[in-house]
Amino acid sequence: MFTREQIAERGFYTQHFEQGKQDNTLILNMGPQHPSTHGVLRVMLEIDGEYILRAEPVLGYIHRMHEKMAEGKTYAQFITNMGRVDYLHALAWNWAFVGAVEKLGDTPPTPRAEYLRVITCELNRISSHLLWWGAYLLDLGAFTPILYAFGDREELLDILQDLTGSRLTYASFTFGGVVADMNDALRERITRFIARMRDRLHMYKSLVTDNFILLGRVEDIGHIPMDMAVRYGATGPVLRGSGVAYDVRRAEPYSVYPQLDFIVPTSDRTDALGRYLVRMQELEQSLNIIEQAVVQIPEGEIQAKMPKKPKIPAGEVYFAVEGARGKIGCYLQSDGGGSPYRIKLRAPSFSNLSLFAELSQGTLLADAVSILGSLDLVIPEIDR
Amino acid sequence: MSAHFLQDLPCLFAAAQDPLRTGLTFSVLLPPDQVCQSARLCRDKGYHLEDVTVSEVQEGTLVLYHYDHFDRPGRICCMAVSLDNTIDSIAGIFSGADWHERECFDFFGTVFNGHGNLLPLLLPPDVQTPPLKKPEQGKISLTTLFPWAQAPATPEEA
Repeated sequence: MFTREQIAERGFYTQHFEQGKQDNTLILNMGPQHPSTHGVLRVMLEIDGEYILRAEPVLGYIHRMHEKMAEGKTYAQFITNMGRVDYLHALAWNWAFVGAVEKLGDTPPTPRAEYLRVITCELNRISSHLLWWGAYLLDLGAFTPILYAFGDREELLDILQDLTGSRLTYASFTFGGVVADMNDALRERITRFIARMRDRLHMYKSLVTDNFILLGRVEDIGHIPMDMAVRYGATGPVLRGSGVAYDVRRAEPYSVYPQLDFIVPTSDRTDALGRYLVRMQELEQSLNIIEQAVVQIPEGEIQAKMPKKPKIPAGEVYFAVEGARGKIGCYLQSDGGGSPYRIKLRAPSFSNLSLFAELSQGTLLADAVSILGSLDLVIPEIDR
Repeated sequence: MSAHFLQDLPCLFAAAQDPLRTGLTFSVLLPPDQVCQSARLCRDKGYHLEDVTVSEVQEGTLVLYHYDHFDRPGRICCMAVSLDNTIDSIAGIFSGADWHERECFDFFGTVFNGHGNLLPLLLPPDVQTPPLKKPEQGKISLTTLFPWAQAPATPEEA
């Protein structure tokens, strides 16, 4: 580790970054309280006029050491942490952890719980994409869309609150099932929401997606070629916006997704517009999934019979799910005791942001804001 | 997908895994000086790096590399045990490993030789003790974690 003298001498990140500075350039510190860095991300930039020569993200401002907390908690206690890693798609993180434990312990959930997980997780994906849509356009200077997005999101969160008990930091998945069931009234509300949302997506398209002001900010900005995506391990809409049809729900099928009909949207554009279009299509696909799931859901228990303190055998397991930002992975090592021996949380935004330094080289500063927004970052997920 | 392309390396242990039980298709334990070669092989075969992580075991520092393929999904895990908490960096092969290795340096103090920018990533630079290091009596052995590694097996046998 570094001594206090070394830290003082180097001033750490800032002075370290300044070491490679050229003449007649400017070091600009963007964040960690900048509105377009969403949360507490700091990016150090060396700019020549309006153009970025170098960029280096500085992380850790909201680091909480979830992986250490896991080693001091029981498996059941750690579920609440999973609601706080990615606050926008918390149910996917619930699923990654619960799924890993279920896989290692060989205790699958009940069929009805599988469908309830799909329904709530996809609703949560829609709420995440809606917030991204509103916030991205806000970054680009359009204020109105976030008001529309939040209007729709409120209705969705009301449904999720009744299905899970929370509006943001969900912890409703349990080993072998879920905590609450869906009644007929809720099913009716979900069906009404799907119809309303489809109508709204048409409006979103005509109001925003086809708008030439938006296109001017996202077309041919931030090209991510396939090779770069592979080198950095990018996943989710960032990868699919580069034309790769990779989605964990199809590539590494889990739960009842193989029984549901949906497509994996891609775009060959590789730019910010490609990633935008992929997410807009994913909203429609999630609606399709939910529509099928509320019809196909079987009657039955929502919770498999499980001991209060599940015994997890010694060994290792890797369980991945598709989150709103890409592949969420939970690598779990167990020594057969009551707490995990080691947990590694693989956050998609972590890999997706790591390519920003290379991606932003040579772009305009204003375009860097567009690129950052198109990556759909959730900083607590990166910092964990 | 078969990961038999790793069989050319001098593996200590290798075994096919059941993806339905472990989420992996193939695991291989390599000598520490082979991690770069394994990364190059994976890169040539079109694999992407999912993550790099570390776990402490009785035998030393266990460094794990998870790879997956976009077109032919099937996760493989390359592992190596380092006795002195250092290992070669693969950041020159997979750019994404840069941050993963910095995170391991933060959490375990693992030094990645050849890494060009091994600065703290998530923790403050003045943290004295890496937080995920375990006391000696709390460590478990490799054979507890990987029962398949109890008996040597070649990839062909697996």
